[in-house]
Amino acid sequence: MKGHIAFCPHFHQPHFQLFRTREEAFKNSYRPWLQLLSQAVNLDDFYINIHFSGPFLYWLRDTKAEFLDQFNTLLESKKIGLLGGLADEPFIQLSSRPDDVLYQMQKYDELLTRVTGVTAADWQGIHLVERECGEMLLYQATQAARRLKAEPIFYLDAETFYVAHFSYPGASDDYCLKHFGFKDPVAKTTISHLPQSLLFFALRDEINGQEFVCFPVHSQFRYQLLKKDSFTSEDRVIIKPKHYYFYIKDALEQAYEQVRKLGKPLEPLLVIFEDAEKFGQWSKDPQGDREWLMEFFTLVDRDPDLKFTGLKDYLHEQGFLDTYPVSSSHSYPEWENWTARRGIRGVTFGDERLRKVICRLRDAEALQNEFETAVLQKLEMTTLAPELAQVLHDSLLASSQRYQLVEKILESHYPDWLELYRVVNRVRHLVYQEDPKWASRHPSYGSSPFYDMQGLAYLELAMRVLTRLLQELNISDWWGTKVKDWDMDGQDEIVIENRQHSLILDQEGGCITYQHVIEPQAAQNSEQASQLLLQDFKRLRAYNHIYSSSYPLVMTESDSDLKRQFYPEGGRVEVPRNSMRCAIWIAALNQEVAVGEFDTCKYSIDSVEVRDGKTLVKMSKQTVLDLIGHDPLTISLVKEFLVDENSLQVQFHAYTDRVIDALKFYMVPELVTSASPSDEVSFQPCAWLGTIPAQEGDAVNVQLRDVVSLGRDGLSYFDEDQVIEAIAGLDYYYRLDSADGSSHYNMIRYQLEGDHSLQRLEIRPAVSHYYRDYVFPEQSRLSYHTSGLMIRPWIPFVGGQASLTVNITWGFDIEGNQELYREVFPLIRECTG
Amino acid sequence: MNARIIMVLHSHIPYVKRQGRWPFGEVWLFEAMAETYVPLIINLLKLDEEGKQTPLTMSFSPVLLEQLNSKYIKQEFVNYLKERESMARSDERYYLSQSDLEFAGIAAYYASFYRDIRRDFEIDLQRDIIEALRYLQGRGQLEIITTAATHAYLPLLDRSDLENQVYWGKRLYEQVFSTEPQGFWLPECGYFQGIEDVLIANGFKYFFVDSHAIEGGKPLGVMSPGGSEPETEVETFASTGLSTYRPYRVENRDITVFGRNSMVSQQVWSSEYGYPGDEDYREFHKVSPRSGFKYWRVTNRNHPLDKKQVYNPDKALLKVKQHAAHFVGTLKNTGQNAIEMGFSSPLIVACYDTELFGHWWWEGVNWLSEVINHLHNSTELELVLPSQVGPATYEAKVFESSWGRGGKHYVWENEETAWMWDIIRKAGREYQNLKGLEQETLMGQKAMSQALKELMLIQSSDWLFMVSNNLTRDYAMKRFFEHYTKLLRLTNTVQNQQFDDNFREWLRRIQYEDDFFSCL
Repeated sequence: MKGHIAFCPHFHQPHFQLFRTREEAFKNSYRPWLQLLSQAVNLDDFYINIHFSGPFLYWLRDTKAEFLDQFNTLLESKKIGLLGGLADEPFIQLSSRPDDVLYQMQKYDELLTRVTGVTAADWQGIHLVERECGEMLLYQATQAARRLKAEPIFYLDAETFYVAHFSYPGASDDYCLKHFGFKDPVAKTTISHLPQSLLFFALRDEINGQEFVCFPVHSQFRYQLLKKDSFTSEDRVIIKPKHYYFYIKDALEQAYEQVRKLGKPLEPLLVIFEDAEKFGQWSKDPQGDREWLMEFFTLVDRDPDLKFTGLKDYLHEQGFLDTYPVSSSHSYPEWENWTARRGIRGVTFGDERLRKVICRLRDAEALQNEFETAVLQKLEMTTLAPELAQVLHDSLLASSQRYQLVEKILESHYPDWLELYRVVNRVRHLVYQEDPKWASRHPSYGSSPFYDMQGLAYLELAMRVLTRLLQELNISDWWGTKVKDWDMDGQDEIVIENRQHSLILDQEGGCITYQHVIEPQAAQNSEQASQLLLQDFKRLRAYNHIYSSSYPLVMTESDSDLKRQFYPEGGRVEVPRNSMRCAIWIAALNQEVAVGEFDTCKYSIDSVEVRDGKTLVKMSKQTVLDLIGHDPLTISLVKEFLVDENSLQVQFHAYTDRVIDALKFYMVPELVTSASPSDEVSFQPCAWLGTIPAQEGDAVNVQLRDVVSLGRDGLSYFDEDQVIEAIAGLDYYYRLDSADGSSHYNMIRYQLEGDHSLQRLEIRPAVSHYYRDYVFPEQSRLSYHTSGLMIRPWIPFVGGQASLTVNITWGFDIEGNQELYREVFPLIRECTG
Repeated sequence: MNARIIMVLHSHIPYVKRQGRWPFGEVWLFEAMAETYVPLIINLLKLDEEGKQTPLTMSFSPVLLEQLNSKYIKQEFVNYLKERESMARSDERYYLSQSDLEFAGIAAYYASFYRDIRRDFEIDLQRDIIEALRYLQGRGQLEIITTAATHAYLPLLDRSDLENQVYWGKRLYEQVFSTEPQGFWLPECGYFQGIEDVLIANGFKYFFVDSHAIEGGKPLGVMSPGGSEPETEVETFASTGLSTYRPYRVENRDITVFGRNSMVSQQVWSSEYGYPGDEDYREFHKVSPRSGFKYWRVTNRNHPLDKKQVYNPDKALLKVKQHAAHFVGTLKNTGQNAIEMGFSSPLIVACYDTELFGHWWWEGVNWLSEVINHLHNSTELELVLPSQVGPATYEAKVFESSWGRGGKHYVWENEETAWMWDIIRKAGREYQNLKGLEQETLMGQKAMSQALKELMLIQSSDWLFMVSNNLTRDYAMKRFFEHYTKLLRLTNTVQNQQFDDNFREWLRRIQYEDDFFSCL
């Protein structure tokens, strides 16, 4: 028996990864990998298929030239094969465009060729992001590969190809028995299928006539690599290289015996797919891991029955077993449970925060589409009949080479726009990167919305650059206010967009679900925005710096306090905190109770007006409360949003149809921002509040909740209460420290006006817990530096009514001087200000 | 306080190599290897790797050692493990197709178990259990002793047969371990006055007996598990005032005898309150008709098999931890009581059949490891080896006894087995008669050598036990008669010196079938 092993480690660091995290991984994993490889290539039978993700390669190119030099020297050994992939490691199947897959693969090819000299024609195979795919992606990726002269060879999870068992007649999923009361005698499958033990060969498939080859990845061989603990609780031994070698050889021997039964003298192949960071970074034991892997490599090298191989090399030598179509709706077994078996689309659309990212991408795609259509229409097709020209236009836009087409037209007709178009398209792609979709929603990895926040900061700028280009093409009606179903939930939202400000108002909760602001100069001076994008995308680094020009003020995390649970074993909806929700509370008998669900209920849109470039939206909700011991009481809450280029005013007005003296009513608006400090180098973020004194008014009881302390032993949280003199508002400062050495503050000012005195002010993280009880407790807990800020003024009803006007303005890159304030409340204790 | 514990595990499987596979035969050995010997040794190696002291005393019957050392058995064992794994996977698929996730989970658990035992056997042990035993003995983690060559019940044998069993038991041990054994395990703890002389003559320094053999009183009378235990008259032995808390020199002889501690034995063996009968442990007697796997838990000792509930390995493992802690607590109390009785450094001797752990009591190996871990960390208890215990200063007169029901020989000699003893003794005499004749031909020497093997196989206590207890009686009788028939032909042929081609061919075949004791 000759068994082949295709060892395929996957190296990845996402765009916008924190500087320190990457550097740590470099020290613990990537550098030790080089040492390992330089040792391993001396073995006779060693071969490895490496996949560098696009973001990882960009980072290497920009910051680790010596690493690449050494790696390229190792490439000369001819014992390292490279796998192709996508430039931004995106879930590109979420895109609405037909050309994005080719674009991604082409950019990857360009990048890899530039840094290693290896072209698509030399790829040993192609890595699909998280091995998550449907038929469309396989089809598009195959087409794209062929166009680039790469062979369409993929590896997919073995579960993609088979089910471990089939239903027997009479089992619980015998629907014949269920519905008609008798066992279905022909419930057994008649379709030829391969057992799991035969999925150790190349399998051919085709979709729409596009041929490709897949290699199954068996999950049991992923989990045991470098496992220095026992595999199961019953197992008595720690997994050592010789054990791993045993499992591999055993599987290959079984496959070898099985394939002989088919009468095909093929030699089996086993794919070991593994995250490269598992070596050294996960264990923090690079030396131990290196020894482990080297021992494993040596065991294989010494065994005359086994050899390492490249995927393509194997295919050329052995050929494929048979045409055996993938069942692509069952990919990625690790996802089955936490994605509720709904795949990546289920993840993104099932989660309100991720859905917002996709919706904003749709806006960007619509804008890009408009630009591209306009560019195409400028092409002279005078020789063609109008009907033919239209068909041609439509066909070109539906082409998988649409991007290349537009690029070519721009090159010849609008050369000044070429680079801008390129960078705008690139930004859009970046926002599809997998990590914020997958990792930030995986139960084991915790919330990491910052990836999306930074992506959106670039995307909003890119959209403004596109708008300028459209204006130059005399299409200028993009900005404005629209009432439409923006988030695809079946009901309308109000979408307000202008140069400096994008804001979405949702009837659900009558709140702001999305707010993004642009620094005035960047907004006014489109050239400045363009240069910023061009410069940053030339070398992707120092991400925090973008926040001096563009910032998502409301993009909050899912909030477990807003969870709706339908039944205990599953079925729930968890929505973000958003901003400008407002609750009505009643205090009686030393208890405070929220009534009427004013913070989450649906509001009616009473009016939407645009006056002098400002949008005025009025929403209201009226509820009749049944209070014990009282006649029914009607409470009304009206919210008026006045949205300007660089400010936002929200008026809250609540009133009852009569006064009940025995009960104290409070109107409690929630002023929320997801703006958070970030320190990507030393992980010492800083955020604080400064008070704006009022001329007159009552003292205010300030209740600070979950103030963060960053100790050596990790995070701890404190509550603080303080009574201060009357205030007219608060300034929120959050510091952004970037890996390029720059550091700046952004600021948000909340000015509070009202007829009634403010006696109590709650300050807490925007979201305290996300997916509580569904993810690890320490990951579930969020705070000021991970979720942002929520300010809750408690406005008492007087004479049956309460009102508050909040004026919100913001500033970029401004000096955060604590001495200018009467009181300062650090939200992170050790922060020096 | 410092109580010393000697934990003795006695290992024996009758000679089953090439004597049928299933349901009776080699499968017994493979089950014991998979469920007991391999996991136990892997656990001991792991504890050794962790730097923990695990001094255990283990006896291995020479027939078992021979089989463990056999290339044929090693290969067949690997095949057996593959078959079990494949059967478990098949069960898993079946139960999944029936949407029975609970049973499917247990089937997957069995599949992993057999795969990992194969991994341990092939990779960690390199198919060589004996080598691992040598290693552990060399590290001081084990003291390995020997027993009668084919595990004969010694008190009832004629003198010459007894001497053969002891002598070849020792020789086999020396051949395997390249060292002299210090201790001797009396099969079934079967003792009679005079046996010590044969042991002394062969250089043994100590042996073990049941508690009543030292202390007197009522015997525990627990046999190996699985027996149906017929009604037996139980003799009450005269109380001696002696105690198993200390070793003794056999009266007027230079050999040490250790007495089994009744308290710690009962804690594990008792059918009424022993740990293996806990509701959460796997039920031994109920098997799946599909595959032979055991999917149920004890549930209640008194429940019939159809009332057993589904087994939960995780829950059983939790119980293992509780029971290990309890056992160590019992050892501490026992030690404390002994100290209060005036024993300054009491000795607690716990003797068990090795196969109890894992094979009969599925969770037993884990329990044993937990106990060893506890003992390793204990400041009050110390696990010791017999050779580490100083010379016995007190003398004892030991009662004729065994650890079988009734405390004497009943289990092996009763109305069901009387005819077998007639044959055993007759066969012994026939062999002895021929032994004095010098064999001039190579064929004659070969025939005599094979005759000794067949004789010793007839003497194996297993056939007597199986017939007594009506357990696999047919197989036991078949084996007994087969070996006796072989012996008869061998002795007749030697007597007549008629070594024709037919005989030569037959001899070659039986040498292949019963090819143990290569040193013969």
